Amino acid sequence: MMAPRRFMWMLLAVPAWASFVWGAPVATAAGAEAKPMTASAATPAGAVAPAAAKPAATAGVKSPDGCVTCHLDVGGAQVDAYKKDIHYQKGVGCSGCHGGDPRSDDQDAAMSKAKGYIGVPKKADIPAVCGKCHGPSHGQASGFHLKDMRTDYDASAHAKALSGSDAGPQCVSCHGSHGIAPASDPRSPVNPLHVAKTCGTCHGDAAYMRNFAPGLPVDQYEKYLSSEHGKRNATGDANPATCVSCHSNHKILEVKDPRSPVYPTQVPATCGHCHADSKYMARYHIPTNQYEEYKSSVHGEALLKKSDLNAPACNSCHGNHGAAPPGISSVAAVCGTCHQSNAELFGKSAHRPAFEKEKLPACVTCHSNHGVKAPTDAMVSMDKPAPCAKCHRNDGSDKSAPTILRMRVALDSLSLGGILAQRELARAESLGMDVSDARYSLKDVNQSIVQSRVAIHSFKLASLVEAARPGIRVTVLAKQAGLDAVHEYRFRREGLAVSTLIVTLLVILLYLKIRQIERSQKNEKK
Amino acid sequence: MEPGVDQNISRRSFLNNLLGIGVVGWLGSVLFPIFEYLKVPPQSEAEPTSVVAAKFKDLKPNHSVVFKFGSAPAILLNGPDGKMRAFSGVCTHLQCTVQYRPDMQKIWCACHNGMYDLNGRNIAGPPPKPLQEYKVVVKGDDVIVSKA
Repeated sequence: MMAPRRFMWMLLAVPAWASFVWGAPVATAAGAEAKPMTASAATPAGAVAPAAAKPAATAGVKSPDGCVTCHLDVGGAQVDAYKKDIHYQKGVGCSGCHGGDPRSDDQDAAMSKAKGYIGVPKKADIPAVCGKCHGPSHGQASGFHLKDMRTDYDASAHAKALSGSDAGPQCVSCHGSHGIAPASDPRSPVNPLHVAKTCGTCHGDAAYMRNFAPGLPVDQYEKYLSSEHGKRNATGDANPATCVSCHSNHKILEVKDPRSPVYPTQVPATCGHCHADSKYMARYHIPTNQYEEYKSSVHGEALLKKSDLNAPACNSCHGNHGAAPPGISSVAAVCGTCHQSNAELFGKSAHRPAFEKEKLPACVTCHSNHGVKAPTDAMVSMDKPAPCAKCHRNDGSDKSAPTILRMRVALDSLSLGGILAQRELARAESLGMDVSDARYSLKDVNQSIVQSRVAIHSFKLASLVEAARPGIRVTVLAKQAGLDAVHEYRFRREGLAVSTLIVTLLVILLYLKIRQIERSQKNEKK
Repeated sequence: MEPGVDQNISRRSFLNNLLGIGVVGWLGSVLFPIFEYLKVPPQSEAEPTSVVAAKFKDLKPNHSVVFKFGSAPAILLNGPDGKMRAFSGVCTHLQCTVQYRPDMQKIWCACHNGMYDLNGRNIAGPPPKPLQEYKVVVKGDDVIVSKA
């Protein structure tokens, strides 16, 4: 028979346990509502609910556990849940987290601070409680093949949030408390089929997120559901990426942290982790060369080699949480996010309806996608592999062919004219002549080249010539300036040489004449 | 005096004059290249740190002028608020020359529709960086732009 004092203590203890298990809000210093993973949320849809039947008091526990014995007597739902907990099954009793001495019959002794009893851990202390085993000194050696989660968590943005408010996320927020299952277990809220929903519990709650990151979007989960990853995940396929595939699990870092796997320069490798793995992707029958192509592309070189964060990574075109391949109709819009002028001209051009009719993806047809290279004038040609030659024929039957060739002439006149002018100016400069004004004017050639390469997306010769003409004029003038400077230099040098020669000749002649006069004077005297 | 003597003298003086002109021409053709060589050729301007970009009275509010600053273009604009600002005129995207759009009250690059605000910050389009800002001093009627 239970002693009255023990019974009274149990009645007091139950609400505390319930608070822990059911996640009742706890007022915090910041005034934020606590948002731990609730029991219902922790048990994902389709997961097995905790058994209602009374569990065997010490089933699976290596030593008799007094906590379980007593808490079952007061109808402890947490004990019911804990019976299915991986910790319970591996022999970790209540005292593993709550402290105390489960072997003592005396309740006061069993739950005394002297025995290390901490009751319901404060939320801020939960990482430390879990970290006793899942920390640096224990995790690897425990034989459970678990990594050092505590250290990873401490470095995370979640730990930073928890340090500012008890409402911040900690272990229980994602894993639940008394019904913890391994991530591979479909009951687990961090199982691949449920983890997006689990993350979305907080990250989809604008009021909650405002306490930590007011600028962060809260539609990630909704977008994920619309993504290819999310759609496949919803069919029960656990292989497509979930939140943790890209953000990692315990060491979740902010996007702006360069160490984060979703920092712009890290994104291609993060996506490539799966998408470049031919074995992993074999079941989806999609190419796995995107990462390799991207690395050598103009975008990849800008982002990965020059660290230009404005350059697009995978997510810039495919989206991140809503990742999906852009459809044929949306390619121009996607590329046009950055290449606005080109997309605008293309949209008004005759190519747009022609491409739509042939079901050709707009920009990709000429520029390719992942391996897009810096465009050159050689792309405008009727010789394969130039993109124009993919559709247009140069056999006299295609009226566009001469126009394409004239476009190329305009582009070549501009770029070759610029090169020749540069060469003449460099020659003049090497001779010490000042051609700075002409060199300054060549900046207009660069501008004309850039504008011509934009104008070509109108696919109208007149528009291209209009953009190229000012530049061509400058190249002619600059080249002439270079030639004039070289001519001036030569005139100076050659003229001086001729003058010097004449003067020298004159001096010699005078010398000979004087000698001759002197000789005739001597003869006359004789 | 006999008419034949006068004729001889005038012919000799004529030939002497002709010879003199020839000698002067010859001397000129010899000396000109020497003088040309000795003449200091135009020197390229050293990269200036400041330049008079415009006359104050000529630059009305909400107008601009693109000027040569050393080897690169720069833009001086008198904003709609009447405040003078100067920036590098080279777009940070593909080095086109920017211009001021009074209708938008923004600095604009025609090449790819890049846009900068009146503080030179890249706010739209592909430019990856802001325009380098220069210092503007109004001295009398001169608007002096300097890199300092």
